[in-house]
Amino acid sequence: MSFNHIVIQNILRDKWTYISYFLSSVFSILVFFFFLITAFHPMMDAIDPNSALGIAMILCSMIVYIFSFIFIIYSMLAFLKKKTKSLGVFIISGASTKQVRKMVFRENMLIAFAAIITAIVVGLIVSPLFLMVVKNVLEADSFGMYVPVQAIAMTVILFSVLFFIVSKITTRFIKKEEAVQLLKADVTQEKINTSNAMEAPFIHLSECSFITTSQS
Amino acid sequence: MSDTILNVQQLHKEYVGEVNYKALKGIDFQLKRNEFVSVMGPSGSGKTTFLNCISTIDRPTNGSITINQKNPYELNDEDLAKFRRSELGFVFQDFNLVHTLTVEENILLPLTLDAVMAKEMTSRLAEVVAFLGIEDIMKKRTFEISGGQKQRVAIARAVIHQPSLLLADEPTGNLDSKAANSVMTLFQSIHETFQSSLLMVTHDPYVASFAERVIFMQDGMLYNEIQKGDHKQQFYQEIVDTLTFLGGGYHEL
Repeated sequence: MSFNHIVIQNILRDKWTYISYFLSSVFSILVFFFFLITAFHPMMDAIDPNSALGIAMILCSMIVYIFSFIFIIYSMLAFLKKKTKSLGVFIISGASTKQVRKMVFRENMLIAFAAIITAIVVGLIVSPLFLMVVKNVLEADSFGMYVPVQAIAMTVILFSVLFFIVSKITTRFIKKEEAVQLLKADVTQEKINTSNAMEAPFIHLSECSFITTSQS
Repeated sequence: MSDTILNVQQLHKEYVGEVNYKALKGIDFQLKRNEFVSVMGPSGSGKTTFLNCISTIDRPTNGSITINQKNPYELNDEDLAKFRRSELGFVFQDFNLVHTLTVEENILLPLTLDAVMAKEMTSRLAEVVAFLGIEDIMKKRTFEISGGQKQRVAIARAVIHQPSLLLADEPTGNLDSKAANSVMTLFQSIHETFQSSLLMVTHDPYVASFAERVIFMQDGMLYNEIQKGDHKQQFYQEIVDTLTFLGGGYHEL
């Protein structure tokens, strides 16, 4: 059994842990890809890049990209939290922090490439429909389908870079001590209790507000 | 090679938080090579903390732990990982198997992380599996097997890299009496066959009586110890008597 075998099995046999992360990645890539398809449309050549509309297009694509950054970091961290205990098992079996980071990084990159490919395929299938909507919105005479080579290339490159950076950053968040602590049943118990204690006031607050509103 | 595999000196552990709590208040303990020792004590006596300090899960506040002349807390991360996979084997109450891997892959995990050659992996796997009698479930996933089988797999994973010290925390805590009995018999035969040193935490006097020596803890201190005599029955009785004396949750005995 090799190290990569573990990485692949972790993904294939635990699809449900990975699926939400995968789908949110696909979604953000898809949004960006649609935007680029519109932006790089041959009909768009008519727009002067220095005009207000041209600048707005560039700004928007940057905002979408930054948004995807935050969105993907967030879903990656949520996904890591789910995995923390199983990472603890790896550490206690003799994996170094470096090995655990390598494993999570490879898992992330595999999912990332799967997500990019899925997003582009789905994007290409749905884009004629999307372009029809755009045509109506812009009230253009013709806004047909074309082969968006530029959009594909840019999406692949930008999101490969994004996933690479995000994976590198998030694997830094793997705390060895925290993972190993989770192996101890009694400690997790305490953690659950404290989180309940934290939530309890809010629950009471919402109960109180419910009672007051129902009375009034 | 010295005679002592584990040397614990003046071990202190204090949990700092909203309420500071001293879990261990100075423990001195030696485990000899090829020795099988049980740690017992009432709830909250610090026995699990003691084991966690030795197993490098919990960093002690004060005092020193040396396993095979090495202090694991002085090693850097890379060396500590290597130390874990060469010197230590763990068996937990809730098994802690990786659920995405099959039984076979779980057992091979420490060897994979150590990048052992495939040929050696197969030969070591065959040896351990035959010894534990789990040939039939090798291709199964961890949720398809029973608790007793899970613990066998966990034991196989803990011993496949031939550790010098095997640590077990309530290994029978989640098992019924029949499975517990077979797991303990297994521990005993591992101890005899592989000549490994074993340190086990338990609250069950019957489970503890499989060991050669039982140490008792109370309020973070070592309280007493009993050596096994010729008769297991008598040893068991002595353990129960000491526990009754200690009180704390053993009233039902």
